[in-house]
Amino acid sequence: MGAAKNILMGVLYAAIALISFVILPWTGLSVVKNLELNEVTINYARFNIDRILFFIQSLGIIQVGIAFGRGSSPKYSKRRALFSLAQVIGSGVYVYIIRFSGLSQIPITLENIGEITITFDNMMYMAFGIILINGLLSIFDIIISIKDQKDGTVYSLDKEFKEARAEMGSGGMYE
Amino acid sequence: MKTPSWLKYGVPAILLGSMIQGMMLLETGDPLIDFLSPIMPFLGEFLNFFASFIMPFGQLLADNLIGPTIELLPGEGTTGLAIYFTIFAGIFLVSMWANVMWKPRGYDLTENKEKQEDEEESGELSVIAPDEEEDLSGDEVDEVRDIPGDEDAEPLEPPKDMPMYTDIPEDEMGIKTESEEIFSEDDFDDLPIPVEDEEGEGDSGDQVD
Repeated sequence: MGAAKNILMGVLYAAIALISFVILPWTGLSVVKNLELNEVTINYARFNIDRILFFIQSLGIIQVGIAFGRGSSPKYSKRRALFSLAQVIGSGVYVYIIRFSGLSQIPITLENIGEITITFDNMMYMAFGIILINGLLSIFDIIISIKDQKDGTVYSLDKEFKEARAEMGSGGMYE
Repeated sequence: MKTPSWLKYGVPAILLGSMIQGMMLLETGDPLIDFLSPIMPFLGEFLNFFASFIMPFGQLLADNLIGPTIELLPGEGTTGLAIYFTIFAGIFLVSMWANVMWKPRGYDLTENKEKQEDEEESGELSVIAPDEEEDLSGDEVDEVRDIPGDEDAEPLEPPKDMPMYTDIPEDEMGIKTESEEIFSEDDFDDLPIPVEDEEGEGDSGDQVD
């Protein structure tokens, strides 16, 4: 019962991650790649867009795996906190790819007017700041989960189940 | 009378909004943008304050930690997606093993367990003794009488003893039989004594007069 519920939750988390980290960005960028506008030329690194699409797929797949691990882990467990930290680090790497691939600065040429450049660097740094704070909170979560298990604030259901089974096996049930 | 919250907060908000709207000189023609644009400076200030606090952390993380890590990632030309799929499969298998074979049940709060145990104990203690049960049943009858509009109703009689059906004969149980209960010796004392006439024929008491 516990395992089935865990796997179901993991699949749900993985599906959400697949949509938000792979399908939506990949579809969006694929549409932008083939976008043709009159009188406006978006000169953002078209030569780099294939590289971005590759990293969206590759890092997105890893994010889906980590999301499955996080979703399938039971409450108050250390591995849930560890997977949360891994997901935050994965998100940081994923976001950095956009900057790394040159999508944070988009030059746009308007015919008969000139050229403007939209810079997302500050927005990127802000996103990284939020990711860093989330990472610190995840580390804090790991510490709390270890402390709770040591203090006895939480108790292991698996341990209780094993003890009950051992009691039944030692003759309690068959006497 | 208490002021409704929509009046207390809604009306000043509308007045303030219309004042700011009136101060706005530039109009784009789009109703949504025209409505939102006066609020934008406030939102911008808030975001700026937030960003000035957050951005140094982000810069630290991006330039010193993630940047060097990214350069280690294999590109499309070397192995393609194979290495990423391998990592994905590894994470997936480890989490499956942990959640199916190792510890699938996880943890629960000890507080919940104690509460549950207390409830179970209190459930065992709440078994009512027979004497107390009679008292409680009396209380219940009183509660039933307290129906509004039913004050004139006659008080309910206590329930009569129901007959017992057992295999033990009634004589052995020390209980009077049905015939003894109906016709006890005292009942016959009140009956008129029949008077014999001269002919010796017995007659009923009514005919004496």
